[in-house]
Amino acid sequence: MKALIHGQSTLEAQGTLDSGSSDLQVLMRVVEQCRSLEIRDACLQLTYLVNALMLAAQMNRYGSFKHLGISILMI
Amino acid sequence: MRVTQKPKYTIFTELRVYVERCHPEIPDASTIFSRRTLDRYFMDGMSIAALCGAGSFYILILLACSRARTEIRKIDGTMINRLAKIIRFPTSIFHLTTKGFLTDYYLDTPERRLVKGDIIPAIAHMCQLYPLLLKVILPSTTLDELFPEESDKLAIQEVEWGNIQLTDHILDQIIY
Repeated sequence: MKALIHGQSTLEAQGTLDSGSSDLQVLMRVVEQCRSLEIRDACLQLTYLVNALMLAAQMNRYGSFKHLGISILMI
Repeated sequence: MRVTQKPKYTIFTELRVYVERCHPEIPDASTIFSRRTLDRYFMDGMSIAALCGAGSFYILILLACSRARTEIRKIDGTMINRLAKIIRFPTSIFHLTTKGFLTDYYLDTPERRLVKGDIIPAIAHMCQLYPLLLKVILPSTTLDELFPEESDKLAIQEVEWGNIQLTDHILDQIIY
């Protein structure tokens, strides 16, 4: 729903929601917007999962943060 | 008389001190790296490692696409272990009888059917369509830290996510 609202407001701001554009075109653009937001969200989730995995691995491996890499700073 | 108790020196204290000393650009490290937050990261990491160890690294993609992070966080460690067991052995469980024989019981429950019918085919499909290498998630610096004694680090980086035996070995090294 957020993606739909955001997509529509973006299109309105761009002036693409004029009378000339058909409903299908508008729908297609909103779908594209939703898709990109979904992918971005999934990428963020994947980054978090990988970084949490690396952090846990390093904590288990050493029990100390002297050798800890940068992954904690990326979470 | 009120006595203020000195906080325990733990690994989280060590991390805070480490970040304050080595990364002064991070403001307010004590808040960001509070014990509770780090505990949550650690629990999440171990849950993910258990699920990856049960299945494959492709589980990461499934979790990310299904936005299962919050759901995973709600599950405690025992349930994660049970979930990992279902993913690893979806058709049967091994049971040691009173006479010392190892028998397996065939189980057919909805969650096991889900693993057999959806998750395993999805991962097999991804293995074929999107072959990924370990270097995608294991950069060389992390690899140096995790496997200081392994000589063939380049070969580890070139392991495919679909290679269950090798990824299981690497995850064992990571977890234990």
